[in-house]
Amino acid sequence: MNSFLGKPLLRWLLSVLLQIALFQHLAWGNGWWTPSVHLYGLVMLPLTWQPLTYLLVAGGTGIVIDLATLGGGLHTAAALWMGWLFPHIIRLFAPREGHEKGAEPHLKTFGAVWFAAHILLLIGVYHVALFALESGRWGLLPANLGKSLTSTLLTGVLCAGIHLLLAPPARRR
Amino acid sequence: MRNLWQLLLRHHTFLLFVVAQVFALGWVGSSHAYPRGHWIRLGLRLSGTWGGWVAQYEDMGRLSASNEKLLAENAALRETLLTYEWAHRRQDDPDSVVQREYPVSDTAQAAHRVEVRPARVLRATWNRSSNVFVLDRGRRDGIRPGSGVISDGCAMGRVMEVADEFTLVLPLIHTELEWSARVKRKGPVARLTWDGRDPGVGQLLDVPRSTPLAVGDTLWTTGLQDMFPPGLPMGTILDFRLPEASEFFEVAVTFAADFRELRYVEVIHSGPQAEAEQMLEQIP
Repeated sequence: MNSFLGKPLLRWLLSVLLQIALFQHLAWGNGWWTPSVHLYGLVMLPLTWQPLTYLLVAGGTGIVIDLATLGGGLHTAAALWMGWLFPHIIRLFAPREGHEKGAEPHLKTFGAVWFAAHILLLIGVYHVALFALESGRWGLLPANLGKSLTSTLLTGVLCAGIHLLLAPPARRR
Repeated sequence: MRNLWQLLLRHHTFLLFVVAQVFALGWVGSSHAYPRGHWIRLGLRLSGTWGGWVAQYEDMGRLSASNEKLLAENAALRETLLTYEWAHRRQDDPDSVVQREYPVSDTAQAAHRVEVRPARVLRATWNRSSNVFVLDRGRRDGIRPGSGVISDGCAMGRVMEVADEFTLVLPLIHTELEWSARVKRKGPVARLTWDGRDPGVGQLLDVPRSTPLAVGDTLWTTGLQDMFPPGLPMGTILDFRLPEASEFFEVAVTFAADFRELRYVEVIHSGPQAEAEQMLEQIP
């Protein structure tokens, strides 16, 4: 398997397994700090894939997480929003000439600000959709939007931590 | 036609997103409030199997064999106690809500038989608005949808879906469900709900302003919903207030069960519940 597909697949597998095995059981502050580590495998996807691929990978991830954690479709719906907006968010932060083929998000290559904006926006989209759907009634919506912000921060920090632990040395742009 | 085809090709990602989103929202809709059906049972099996492995690992060195034996003994004792209480309490207990003026026949006692099955919690959520518990017992162990679930003798939820080896339980901390509760032994019947915020605190609705309330008063199951026999504790009153010009109190309730710490529960199936099920099945 070439590294173009192999590395994202390994990251995806690792993050999904971590979420199912460990992080689905963890939440703090009455659910205000809920980690979604499986998103690490998604936010680190290469930046030059076809839009359809992001949608399919994200939707597939949502289905796996829903089945494994009894999410009842919530993760699938949220992941689809993320997968659909993925190419738009990449374009938002892309250099004028676009990313070179095979480019992947990397803290050292793109800088801390770009990296944080990239992962927090993607994770934020996912969590806003997840918690908004999960609230199920208007009265819970404000609190759940608050939860989506705190959980986005927590997940972002965890993803950045895993990235620093696992990422190979940066390539020059 | 060609233009339409080109339009579909140009926007294929968006169209697929819409179609997939409709599917996902349908899944959410069918499983959010009352999770039943094939997909839920599939998820129950996957989640239950994984939860079983985790629980096995957790149990290593925890005298799990002794635990199982004690659980079975506890369930048998509770079964006897609940069956006896339900059949005799109304006749003998001067504090009982309904005075029964005729002796309890063997048939009536059999009809009030309560079956209790111990189960271990494999997976639990308490941080969602629609929380679920997965138990390690299922249809093969005689568990049926609609049964009540108790923890340490306190009401904690109801069985919603059953696979062969696993059971899905909706706990009191579920925003789509309402529970029938009696304020004190002789008080009025009210609705116990959960607003989705603090998993330790519920809300009691429809308590008339004429009801004498005190912080610490106990809420009991009424037996009206059939899943629980009457007289099981559900919680205690944490706080209450009477809004201006309202006929009903706003009551905050501390749940008797600590949903964040539950490891073992008991599933109860009552005689009257089985009878009611039979009657309902006969209705065309």
